[in-house]
Amino acid sequence: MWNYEKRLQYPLKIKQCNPKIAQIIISQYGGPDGELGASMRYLSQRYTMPYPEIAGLLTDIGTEELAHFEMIGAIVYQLTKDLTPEEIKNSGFAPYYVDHTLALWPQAAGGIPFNACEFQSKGDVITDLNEDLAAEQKARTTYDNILRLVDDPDVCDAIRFLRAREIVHYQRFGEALRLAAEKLDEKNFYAFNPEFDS
Amino acid sequence: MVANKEMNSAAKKKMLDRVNELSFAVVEMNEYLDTHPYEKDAIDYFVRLNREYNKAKKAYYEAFGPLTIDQIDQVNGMTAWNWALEDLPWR
Repeated sequence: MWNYEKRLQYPLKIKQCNPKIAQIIISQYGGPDGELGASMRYLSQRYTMPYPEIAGLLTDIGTEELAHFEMIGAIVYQLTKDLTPEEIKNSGFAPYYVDHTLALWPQAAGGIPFNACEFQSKGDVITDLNEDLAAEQKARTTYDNILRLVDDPDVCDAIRFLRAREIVHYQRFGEALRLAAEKLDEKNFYAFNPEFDS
Repeated sequence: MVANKEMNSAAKKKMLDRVNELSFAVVEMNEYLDTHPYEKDAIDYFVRLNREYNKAKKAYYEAFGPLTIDQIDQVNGMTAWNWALEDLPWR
């Protein structure tokens, strides 16, 4: 169950319309290491997670990722809301515009639609937590790449906030992996899946 | 009138910033506690922060309206469903 809070997790006030950077940033909306995939990954993995504190962590981080998904949507919206047909033609935004006008649609920067194959929910504690650690680093790399391509200070400020959250979540998943390893029987560490065999 | 509007907008931003900051601290401590569930100091810190967060949300609600639908528990002369009529936060 969720409740909607009528505010963004981090405030956004982008003054300058810029369809070029919108097309890059949309990758964190629906791209391979984006916030939608992040949220769906954690919220899907938690059902079979046998350890309540780790299932709780997946729920809480999955929930925060939804707030990040909303922030990325808001950034793309603010970067494109005042576009003129002329600007759309001259900025490379036309291929997106023809299918979606100025609406948000989850896709990667290269135009590939969001796909659940971009994340895993494997039903094995060790496998899933390693996926989560990698996912946080992949998202951090994407934010680093965005920061190299974008100069707008209003956009960079929000992207830096999101980048820092990837690092914190990586830390929490590392702690979760250590907790899980401590709970597993050392004798059959690699032969036993507590999400299935117990 | 214009000056009043600007003052109102600055006050609104200040109160919303306070809500955002405390909410951020609460989210951060909640995730920390998920992997450190027996740290008494962290639990105390969470409760202290959450109390301040709830106060800040209530103060914002009384001045500028609800951030969550569960805050609306008094009619207070409301004649329209402002929850829907007021802009969403990216506008």
